[in-house]
Amino acid sequence: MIKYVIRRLMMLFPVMVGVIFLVFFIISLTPGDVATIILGDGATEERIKDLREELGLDDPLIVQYGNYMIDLVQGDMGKSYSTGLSVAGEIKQRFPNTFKLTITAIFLSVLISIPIGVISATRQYSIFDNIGMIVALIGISMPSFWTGLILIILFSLKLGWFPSGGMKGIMSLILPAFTLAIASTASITRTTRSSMLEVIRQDYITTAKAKGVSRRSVINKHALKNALIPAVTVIGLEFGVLLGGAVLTETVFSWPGIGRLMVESIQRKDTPMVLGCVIVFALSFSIVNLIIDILYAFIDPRIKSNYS
Amino acid sequence: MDYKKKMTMLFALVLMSLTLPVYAGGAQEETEMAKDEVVVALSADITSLDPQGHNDTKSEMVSFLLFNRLFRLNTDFEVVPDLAESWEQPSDTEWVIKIKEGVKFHDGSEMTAEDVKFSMDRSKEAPKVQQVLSEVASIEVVDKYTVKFTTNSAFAPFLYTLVHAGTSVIPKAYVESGDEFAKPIGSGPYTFVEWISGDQVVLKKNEAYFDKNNMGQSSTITFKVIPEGTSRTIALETGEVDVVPELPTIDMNVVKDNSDLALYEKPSTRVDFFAMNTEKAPFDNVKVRQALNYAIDKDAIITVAIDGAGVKAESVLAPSFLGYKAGPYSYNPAKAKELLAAAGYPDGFEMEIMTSGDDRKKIAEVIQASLMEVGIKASIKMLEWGTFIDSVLRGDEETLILGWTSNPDPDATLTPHWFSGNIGGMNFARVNDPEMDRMLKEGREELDLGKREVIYNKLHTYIMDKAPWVPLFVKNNIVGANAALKGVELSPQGLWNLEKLHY
Repeated sequence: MIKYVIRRLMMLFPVMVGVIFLVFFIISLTPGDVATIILGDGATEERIKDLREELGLDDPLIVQYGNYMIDLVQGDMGKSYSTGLSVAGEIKQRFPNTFKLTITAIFLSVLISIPIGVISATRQYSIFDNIGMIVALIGISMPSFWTGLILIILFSLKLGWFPSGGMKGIMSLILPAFTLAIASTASITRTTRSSMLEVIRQDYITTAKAKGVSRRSVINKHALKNALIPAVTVIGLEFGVLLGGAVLTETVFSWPGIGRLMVESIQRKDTPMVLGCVIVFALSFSIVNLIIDILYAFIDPRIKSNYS
Repeated sequence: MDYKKKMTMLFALVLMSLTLPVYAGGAQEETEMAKDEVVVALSADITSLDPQGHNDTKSEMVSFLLFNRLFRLNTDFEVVPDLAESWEQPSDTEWVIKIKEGVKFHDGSEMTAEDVKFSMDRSKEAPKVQQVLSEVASIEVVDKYTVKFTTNSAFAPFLYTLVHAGTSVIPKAYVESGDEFAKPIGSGPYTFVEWISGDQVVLKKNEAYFDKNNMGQSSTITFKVIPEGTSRTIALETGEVDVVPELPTIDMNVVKDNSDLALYEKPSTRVDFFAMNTEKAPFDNVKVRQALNYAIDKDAIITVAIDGAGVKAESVLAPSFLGYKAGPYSYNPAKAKELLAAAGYPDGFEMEIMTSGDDRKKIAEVIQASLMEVGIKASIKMLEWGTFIDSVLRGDEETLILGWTSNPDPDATLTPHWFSGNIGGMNFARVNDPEMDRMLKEGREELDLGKREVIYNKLHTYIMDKAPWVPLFVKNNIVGANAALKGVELSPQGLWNLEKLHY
């Protein structure tokens, strides 16, 4: 098991190198000269040339990439082109905000979706099932900026229950987390339902029922545990995606997360900041996936025996 | 399963009942005791707390409260002294400025001429603001409170350059301490408390401010970053923010119709224009350019693109500028057709409009429709901003739509746009006209205000006669605020003198 984890962690390196390579070249090849963007209107040719030299922008791309990697290995993510602030410092400020929002959103959606998924499956084609699935379909179809605005108008403007945005205490967390939760709830519910449906038709469930095990116990112990693997996979994926920052939700709710930081940096062609965000995104996605894989072993002991 | 369902519902109910009263109580408390705090909504985060590390209006709002400059602009964009006590001009290229005695920085140290010289030298080297003092050859310390600036040549707009945030006076000792503006020390009416990246900047009133007439009015000013326009308006409606400096034009009526809110409007210095590349046929023909000046329906553009929040632009600068003179054109498609026929295009021609951004796309579509009426078939090419600017600098476009916010002195806008040396730069119409070059030089070197005005009058007439642009409109700055908020002042740049905001 430990060997497996170490092997997986080692695999992170080629992934990171590849991701950074791709993003670096994509940004560098987009039009717009960084020095001109930094200096703004009215900068002289000479100043632009000096600054290009200072930033090393005149070196061949592959050399720039190499320099970046050398600094990175030493733990230096560089300074933002547009603000001059340290990239690592900026990310350290922003990432916990995104993390807080993500955890809350996933918690909310698991809380809602697993019970609904299970009930829908055990009462297939009942009115509850139909309503649940229609709601899930609507949830997955609503764009998050729209959901967000509707929630703001309803709960902040009309009812005055929650602040409309910003990051001030636990109350400001509810609406954005709920907005994010709606979309992921939909997919987790559907996955839970379909895998539950599959499991409750298995022979061992029939056996358990025949033995006289109570209905609740059959569902909770015998069925749900076995049906959880696909659901956990989806939860993990949603979690990873949200950690990369939910740009639209963060924007609508003025949440100072890493998604907004990344998009703003892309617009300013702030290469070091974009790369910093991408690294965090790729890292957190990979780590979440690793954790999910390890979780499988606890949910299903057969998987554990495969690691060695 | 019913049990589980019940538990979930119970949990939700408990959660709601626990949290709701707490928040409601908190909100009430705020309205009662507070209101010594003013919250300003920003559409984007500031880029830097270093007054010489940015060149954008958001960061400027914060810099203006934390730091002082030698001069400042009033709401009519006239230069008034800030740190400067007195000033004189021993010769055309020399300016001797004495600063007020006893000005204290936030750390208690006194400001001297050394700090002024240090700040100006640093400004000339700072990448983001190096252009501001580019006309200054040297700065010398004369005595403890006096400095002397020497300019490269006679330079009429000199005092205007000293109102820029990039010329803020910063304490030499602080910069040399290497704090890198994590906790900036200035001399302004507010002191720094905290900056949470992407979220907010908090400032506290400086009780020891030197200028008793311009003291901060409320104890705290908080700048809250709210990137989404609609969210900004909602935050104003719910009372979470007190003033929105950039209110989206579509929300103007929401604010007008709400008796708890107030709407403030003032023409900006931004001119949105349609420029023709005079190097390319048929736009090398002055008759064609004049025809387009008659053909484009500016009123329709103002209605469609900015919801009516602006006025027609009739020359290449906003009317508030020294020496402004309106051009001779009005919307007249028949006249446009005549001119086109005289230019040899009785049946019109095909052309391309290049621009970037959703707002400009609306403008382009109205222009397209206007031109259709005089027989010109225009296509619209939308580009991403970086690509757009690159293409424009290369001169790829036939025509383009762009906006320009001007600094208060006319020269700061006219020279970049019309001097032949700036083709490939900001001379968007790529005009190479020796007569224009001569008038520009004359204008920037003339120190007598009356004579300068006459020169710029002539220049406006000359440019509009050559018609390389169709100036479209001057947009209003729109500020939404809580109706109870006092001290809301606007300059052509928008919300102004934020230290005066209070309840």
